[in-house]
Formats: sequence, C-alpha cells, structure tokens
Amino acid sequence: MGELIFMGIVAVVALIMFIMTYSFPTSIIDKSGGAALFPRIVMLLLLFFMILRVVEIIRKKELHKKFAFIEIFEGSRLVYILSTLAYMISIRYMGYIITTAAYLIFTIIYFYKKETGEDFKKIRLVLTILINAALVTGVYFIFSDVLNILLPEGIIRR
Amino acid sequence: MKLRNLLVAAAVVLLVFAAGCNAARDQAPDTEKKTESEQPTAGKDGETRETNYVPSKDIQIVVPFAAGGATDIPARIFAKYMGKYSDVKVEVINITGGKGGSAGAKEVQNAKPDGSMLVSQPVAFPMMSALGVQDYTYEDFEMVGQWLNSTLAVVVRADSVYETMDDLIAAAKADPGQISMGSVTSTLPFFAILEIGSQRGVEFKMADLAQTNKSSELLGGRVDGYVDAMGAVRQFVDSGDFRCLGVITDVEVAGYEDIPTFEELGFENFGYLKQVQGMWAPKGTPKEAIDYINNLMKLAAEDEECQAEFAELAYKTSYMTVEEYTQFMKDTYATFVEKAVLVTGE
Amino acid sequence: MDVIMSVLTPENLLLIFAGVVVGNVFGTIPGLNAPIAVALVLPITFSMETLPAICLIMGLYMGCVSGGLISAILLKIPGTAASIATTFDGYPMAKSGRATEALSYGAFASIFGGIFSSICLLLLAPWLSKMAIGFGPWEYFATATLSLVLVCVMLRGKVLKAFIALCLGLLLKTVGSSPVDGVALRYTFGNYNLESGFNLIVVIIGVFALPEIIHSIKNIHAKVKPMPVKRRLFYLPKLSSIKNNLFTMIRGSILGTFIGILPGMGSGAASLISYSQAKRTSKNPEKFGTGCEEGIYCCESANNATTGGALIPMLSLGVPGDTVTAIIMGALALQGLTPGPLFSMNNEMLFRAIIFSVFVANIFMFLYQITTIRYMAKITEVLKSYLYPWVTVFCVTGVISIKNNVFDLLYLMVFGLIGYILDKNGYPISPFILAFVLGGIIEENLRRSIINYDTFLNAVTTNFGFGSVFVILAALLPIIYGINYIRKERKHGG
Repeated sequence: MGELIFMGIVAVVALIMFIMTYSFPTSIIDKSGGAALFPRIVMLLLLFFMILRVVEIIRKKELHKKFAFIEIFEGSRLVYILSTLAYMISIRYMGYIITTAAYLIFTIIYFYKKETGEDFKKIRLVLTILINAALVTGVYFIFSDVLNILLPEGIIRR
Repeated sequence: MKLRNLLVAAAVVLLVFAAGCNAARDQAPDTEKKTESEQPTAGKDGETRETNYVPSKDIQIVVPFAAGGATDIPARIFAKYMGKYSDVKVEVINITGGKGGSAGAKEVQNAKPDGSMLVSQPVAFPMMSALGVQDYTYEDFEMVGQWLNSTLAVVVRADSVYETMDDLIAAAKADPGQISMGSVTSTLPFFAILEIGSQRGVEFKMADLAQTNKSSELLGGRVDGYVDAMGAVRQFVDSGDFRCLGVITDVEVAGYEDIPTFEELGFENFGYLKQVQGMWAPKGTPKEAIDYINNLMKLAAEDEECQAEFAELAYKTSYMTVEEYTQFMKDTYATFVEKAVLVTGE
Repeated sequence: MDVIMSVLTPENLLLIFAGVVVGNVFGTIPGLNAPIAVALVLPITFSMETLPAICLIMGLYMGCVSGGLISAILLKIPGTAASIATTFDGYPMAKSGRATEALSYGAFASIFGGIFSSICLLLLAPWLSKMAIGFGPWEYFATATLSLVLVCVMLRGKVLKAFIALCLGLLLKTVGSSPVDGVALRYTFGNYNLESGFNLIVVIIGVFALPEIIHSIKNIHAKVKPMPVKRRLFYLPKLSSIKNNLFTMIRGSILGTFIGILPGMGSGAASLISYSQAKRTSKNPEKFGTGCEEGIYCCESANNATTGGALIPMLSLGVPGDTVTAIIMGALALQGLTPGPLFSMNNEMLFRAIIFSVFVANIFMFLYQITTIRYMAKITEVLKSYLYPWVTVFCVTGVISIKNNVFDLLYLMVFGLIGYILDKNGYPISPFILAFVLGGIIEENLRRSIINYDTFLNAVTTNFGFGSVFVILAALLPIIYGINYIRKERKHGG
C-alpha cells in the first residue's frame, strides 16, 4: 500500500511538472524541440513504468510489503535529521565556526550516550568540547586561508 | 579503551590536517621566491598613485566561471600583475553557478562594499540580461574598469571549398539554412553568426556546440564552420587543420596579418562582438577604493610583461577610466537589448 | 631517457608525492574532489616551472581519483563520483571483516588501470583521439542512452524498479536552465542558485552518505566486533586473486580508457558501467553486491583508467576529457602552453614527461595506499558517536567548497531522504545516480542531433553507423526483456 502512495505522490509531482513544461519559453531559432521536449519524454516514460509497477503489485500478493518511510522520522534518526537540518540552515546566518562546533558538541554528547549507555564524565565532556571547537576552528582557517574557500563568516567577521 | 578510541579519532583528523598543511608548506617556498624576485622591479611605491587610499583587506576578484576556463586564465594572470602594484594580495576565487555566471555576480552584489570584492564581468552579463535570464544590470553595481580584449575568429576546415568569407556567404545563399555554423548557443560567437547572416542576408543552420568540445565537431566534419575566440582556434590554424576566414575586429591580429579583419571584409557595427571583460564592485563602494583599483588595473594593463603574457594566449590588455567604462557598459547593454530580437523574435 | 631523468628530480618527486597525499585526502572526504583540488593549486602552480607544476597536478589528480575508494569501502560513502560503484562490493567486504583486503584490491586495481591507460596515452594518443573525433552528438546520445539501459536491464529482479529510479534521476536532472537554448529556466522557481541544476557531487553525498548515517544511527548502540587488522607494513593482494581477476581488470581498464576519452562521461559513469558489465559477464553474478573481489577490481581499474583516457583528447586535440583535465588545460595555459594538435610535436619532451609523471604518480599512489591501509582501516574502530557527526561536518564543508556557496546544503538533505526511501524499498540507486551523471549529456546531444538531422527518425537513418545501432539496441533491450518476463510468468502460472 505504501509503495502505491509513494508512486501516487511521484505521479502527481510529475504531472504538475508536465503541465509546467507548457510555460517554458522557446526561442524562434530553436529547431531542436525546445526545453520542454526532454522532460516530457522522461515523464511519459516514468508514468509508463509506474503503471506497469502498479499492475505488478496488484497482481502479485507477495509484493505487498511495508514501505520504509515513517521509520526515518523515529527516535535517534529524527534527532540526527533535525539537528543536521538546523545546522545546515543556520550555517548561513551564524557562520561556520559557531554552528559547526555547536552541532558537533550536541550530536556527539547525544549519540555518545546512545552508543555507550553512559553519560559523559566531567573531564571528558570538557575535553570533547575543547578539542572539537579547536578542530573546527582549525578546519575553518585551513579552508579560508590556505585553500581560499569562503566558508560562511556569520556573526564573527574578521 | 574508549580514551584510546578518542585518541585514534583525533589522530586521524590531525593526520588529515597535517597532510593538508604539509602540502601548503611544500609549495609555499616557490610562491615566496617568485614574489621576492618580482618586487624589486615592481616599483612598489606606485609612482602614479594619486590618492592616499590604502586598502585594509586583500582584494578578491570573483570569476563567475570554473577555474582554468577561458574567463579564469586571463583573470589570474591579470590579478598577478595587479598584485604586483598593490600593497595587499589580489586573489582570484571562482564562484560558479547560475546561467551566465549569475551566482558569482549575486555574491558580489550582496558583499560588503568596501572594495575588497570585485566580480570580473564577462560579455555574458549584458547578453543574459538582454535575453531576460539575469535580473541585474550594470546599474546594480559600481563600474570599475575594463581590462581584457580578445578577438573572435571564423574558421572552416582547411580542406573545405570555402577559401574566403565570400565563398561561405555564397554557399549559404545558394542553399539557405543548410550550411551549419557552430557556436555555444547564446554566447557571443552565436550572436556573431546571426550578425553575419543578417548583414549579408543569408541564413545559416545554427549548430549548437558543447563548451569544451568545439574543435572536434569541425575536425569530424559535422559542422561547416564555427566561431570561437582566436586564442582557442589559433593552434588549429597553425597546424593546418583549419582555415580562418576572418577575425571580428578592426585591427589586424599580431602574427596573423594576412587574415582579413571584419572591417576589411566590409562588415559594419560589429563593435559589440568584441570579447571584452571588465570589473564590477558592489553598489556603494567608496569612490577612493574604486579609483585605487582602477589605477591598479591601469598599471597592470600597461605592464609589458603582462601584455606579453596576454599576447601569448592571443588576448590583449585593455584600459578604460571609470567614466569611459560606465558609458561603454551603457552602450553594450543597449546594443544587446536590440540584438536580442535576433534570438527571441519579440 | 632524458625525459625520465627530467621527472626524477627530488623536487618533482616531492611534488608528485605531496600531490598524491593531498589528493588522497581530498578524494577520501566526500564533497572535496579532483576538480576542486586541482583548481585550488592553480594559483600555486602559476609561479612554478612547467614540469614541477605538471607533477604536482598529476599527483593530485591520481590521488583524488583513487582516494575515493577509502571512504567508499570503509564507510559506504563514495569520496568522489569515481568510486560510487566501489561501495557496492567494497563495503560488504569491509563489513565482513575484510577491510584491509578490500582496500588492497582497490589500490591494486587503481594502479593497474592508471598505468594501463597511461601506456595507451603514450602509444595510441593520436590514433585514439581520431576516434574521439568520430563521436558526434548522435553518437554521444546513443552511447549514454545504451549505458543507462544496460545498467537497468542487468539488475535482475529489479528491472522495473530500476527504470523508475532511472526516470526519477533524469527528471531531477532537468532542473535548471535548459541546455542548448538556455532560455528556459526549468523548475527553478525564480531561484538563481538552481539555474545550474542540482550539483552532481551534492547529489552523490545526499544519496549515499546521508542515508547510510540515517540508517545506522538507529542501531548505534549495537556492538560491532572489531575487525582484526593484521600488523603488516604493506598490504598486497594475494597473487592468486590478481591472477583470477587479471582479465576483469584488463577489461575494466579498456572500458575506462575509452570512456575517459569521451568528453563529459567521466569516471563515475566508467565505474558504474564497468561494474554492470563485469556482473553480466561474470561466472558468479550472484556474488556481486555481497563483497566479491571482482566487484572491486572491475570498477577501480575502470575509474583510474579514465585519467589517462581523459588526457588523450586534451593533449592531442585540446579537448579536455573531463572537468579535471579542463582545469589542467587551464594550468598549462597559465604556463603559456596550449595543448592541441601541435602540442606533442612542438613539445615532445614535455609531452612524454607529462605521461611519465602520470606513471610515477600512479606508482606513488599505490605505495602510499598500501602502506596507509593499516591506519585507514582504523576509521572503523572510531566510536560511531564521534564518526557520524564528523562525517556529516565534512560532507557539509565539502558541499560548501564545491561552489563557494551555502545554497547547496538546502537540497542536500532532500536528496538524503530520497536516497533513503529508494534504497530501503528496493529501488536500486545506481541507475538513479547514473541518470544524474549522464542525463545532461543525453538531453543536450539529443537536441543537437535533432538540430543537425532535423528529425529524430532522420538521425537514425542518415549516416547509419554504430550510433544508430546503439539507439535501436537501447530501445529493443527493455522490450525483449519484457516479453521474456511475461512468457516466464505465463509458464509459471500455467
């Protein structure tokens, strides 16, 4: 059932994208079928294959399996996804060093407890925070000064 | 046991960094050697500097295309010579993405206007703006100056029947829409083919070429000819594979005096088909900073070594004052808006 | 002889070695890859002599392309696009406690492919580049399409799902400004960052790295028995294993060299195609994906062979075979040299020296890898609660470095979820990612062919050559498969 819903969603998205192809501009000298040609071919093929798949699922009972989706958003997975998302979004505003260090310290403490079942001892906690913050700062300077890559500066501007 | 693991983790990470640093160190002596040897000849005091403005940060020139490309290489050479006359480092960084380099331009548009970040302006900016693909124009930036001039060339295979431009035009007249001319669509060469067609009243078949794979299309005989930068086709002309029917400029290209220029061929108003590049700064950059950089560009453009390095790649340095360049951009944008009709048909 | 001596100076050797080591690091970290590494040293090479500059760059190039196998085997995260296929068998092998073995196979296949293709470069460059000229838009379209179809059809039991994944990949690839005309901004919703489409490297990290972490972080508390790492100085694969797979490696190398010559196809495509090719012709195809040696040999030899292949059209035609060689061409231009038809004649010494430096770089790369295997394998001993956050941070850092842009992060997670859903529900990932690698080539060249031949049918019939044969094959294969499948079902049911 889950797979049918998944394909249904894909089909709806594909249909919307198909309709959108009609608003693509084409230049007058273009004799190649225009920007819409290829997406349309792909979407028709996609729909064709998905219809075949639906027929297959309906005909064969052994294909009625649970669809892996909800499990992504459970327990530690959810924590990982949410914290990583927060990290990715805030990096632009807060800067590389702060967000990365915060992300690392949070996730390491959280997953350390999950992995070993014990809390951090005080010294270890301090050590983890210090080492990670130092490493992140090191990475930042290697990238920005040695490699000339602009990592987001955020609130700390030089 | 766990502490050991921690140490191992730290060691792995440190190893990675150490490797990175080591490489930088290995290479550092070379860079230093070179800069030291350059400085004495450079006249670092800057005889011609008018203002007392001193930049506080390194100058970064954003090239909106990939490193090693046709836009990037001259920019790197030019940045080297700008750095020679400057108190701060002049670096090139590549910010790619967007059609016609819009991601790089946007990045600079939003940068702090302190004269530390510039974008190298390719011809693509006015062109894409005219085609409605980019939503910013020269008015959204401060104009700094022009620095590069290069020439487009029309080439066919050396063993083809087209001995001159007229042969090609005549063939296109006899067989409309069948003589295929290659270019990367919506780039300057593309407009050049359209312009040739419209001035001579013929229609070419517009074959689209891949950015990195132009010469093999002509070598393989799948197009009848194509238009590209002189620097890129020169080697094939030298090797005897291609014949150059004309260069889109009014002055002869050094070393290739026998190739007719477009002026000699009787074309008009092809000024906008010159591949020029300039520099833009974010809106609101102080005038002193702009004048300072413009002066650096002047010094670099007049540097003989720089000119020699450019000539080796069939480029030419170019210089314009801020006012000249602003006017030039205004004209270029107006011309492309006019010429965009050739593509969009509106 | 002079050529060899000119490369074998202490300075050059040091630069090659430094290049290999740094390249390996770049290759190992997902997101940092060969084009970035080479682009980053461009300014440095600028002030160097020509040959040392070449040595440094070639070291980097070779190091990067094979460095990806380390994280692919140990973490199931391909460090670069080149080692996507290495995860299929390398990771299962590492998981079953044979990490060092897997790494040594990978390293050996790498040097084999690299040396093979550099010999091709030396002996056959002019001849092979003529072949590249014969490849026009129609032939590119045909080859790329057939590759995609082959990869799908070879996934026994999952063919239909493979085609769905393939179409999904192609569809997502169409986001961005349209190729050829460039006037239509497809599905960008006014965001200029999307105009160049989804970046391949970001998609690879999203589809491979994130799902793996998401999947295993749930069982983070599960005790994994530490792998026994024997303390040895060198880890060489067993002679018998090399002997058994010699043919696999030769075939992978030929395929890799060939794909490398074709501009735009790239090492990712080479390794994936080689993998499915090896699986089809193997005596034990059922072992593929469970950690078999062949699966590592075939793709690692192919992806390293693309390096020599990509250099062939660059040095003999001035047409770069991939992104890295495009940048190398830029580096040569900065030295005042323009690769092209006259290059090997006018600079014969340099031409040979370049090839020899590739040779040396490959050897260094091999030595470096087999000696560091011991330390690399330790990665698997690191506590997961340290490893996963740091891997994520490196992915993020790498993604930012690709374009100096933080926008790419925003769709990284989306691809992570797509990758998870596809993978865990039995939709194969390889067609999806190959569609992303080749989708652009297929669309561009399809439309170019239509411009050249006016209609699609004309393209098939005029100039009937291997291009048309490939296209017909690509159309027939799925149909034949379908008919066979239905017949079997009928028999089964009846």
